[in-house]
Amino acid sequence: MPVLLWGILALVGGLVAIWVGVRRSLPAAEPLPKGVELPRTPLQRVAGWSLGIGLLLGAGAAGILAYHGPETTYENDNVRLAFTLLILATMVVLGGGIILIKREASRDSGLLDERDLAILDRAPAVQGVATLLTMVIWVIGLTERFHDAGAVPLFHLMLLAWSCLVVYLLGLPLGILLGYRRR
Amino acid sequence: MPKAEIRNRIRALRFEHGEMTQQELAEEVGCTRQTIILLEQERYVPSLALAMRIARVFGRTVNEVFELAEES
Repeated sequence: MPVLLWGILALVGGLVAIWVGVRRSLPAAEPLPKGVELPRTPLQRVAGWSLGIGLLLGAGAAGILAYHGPETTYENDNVRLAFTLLILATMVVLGGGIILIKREASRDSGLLDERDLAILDRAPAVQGVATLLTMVIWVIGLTERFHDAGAVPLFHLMLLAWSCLVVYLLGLPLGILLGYRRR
Repeated sequence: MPKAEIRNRIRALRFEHGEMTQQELAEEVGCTRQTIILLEQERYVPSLALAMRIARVFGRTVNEVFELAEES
């Protein structure tokens, strides 16, 4: 199986772990009566925006990787620069969202209430498991792919590291948004 | 142990208090409007502190606003 497919499998595995983890830990919220709509809380808005923009930037980086292939992305300076910048922008957006959320939670500004804080507390519960799963799938994939060569190209190790970081950073906003859909 | 549900009179009390909006109540007690909506729909059980703050806004005791309804 090509390395990129292992990478996609690793990312999807991590995100599924977050999804399943949050769903299993909390029962589904009962549906609201017709006509009752919930306004989004400030926490939901920050998590939603950071997740949306982060995913968009991450998809851009993944697109470059898929279009040029891992070898060209690593060897061509311009392509590598574009890929790295997009990945870094993803980190900044996702990390910035998390910093903003944590700052509001710690300074008791009144933007987050007790329900927001409870959801925020539960959100990172599966971040570690998801990151580990991503790493394990990557390691299995790289071992399978490069077993005969006896060595893994450097860029693939970078991809492993980026994937684990992205899954870890996605874990919090995703956990928050899923938390609002649970009881 | 019988299953317990918390009922409340928040919606009625809001209207008795000059048709106070959900947003106004949320600001008074320091929570989001989403939490007030879920409280009124009895989809969320508040902490004791929030229950006391809501009761204080309406000039009532917690027992007058919230009620424990037990199902056997």
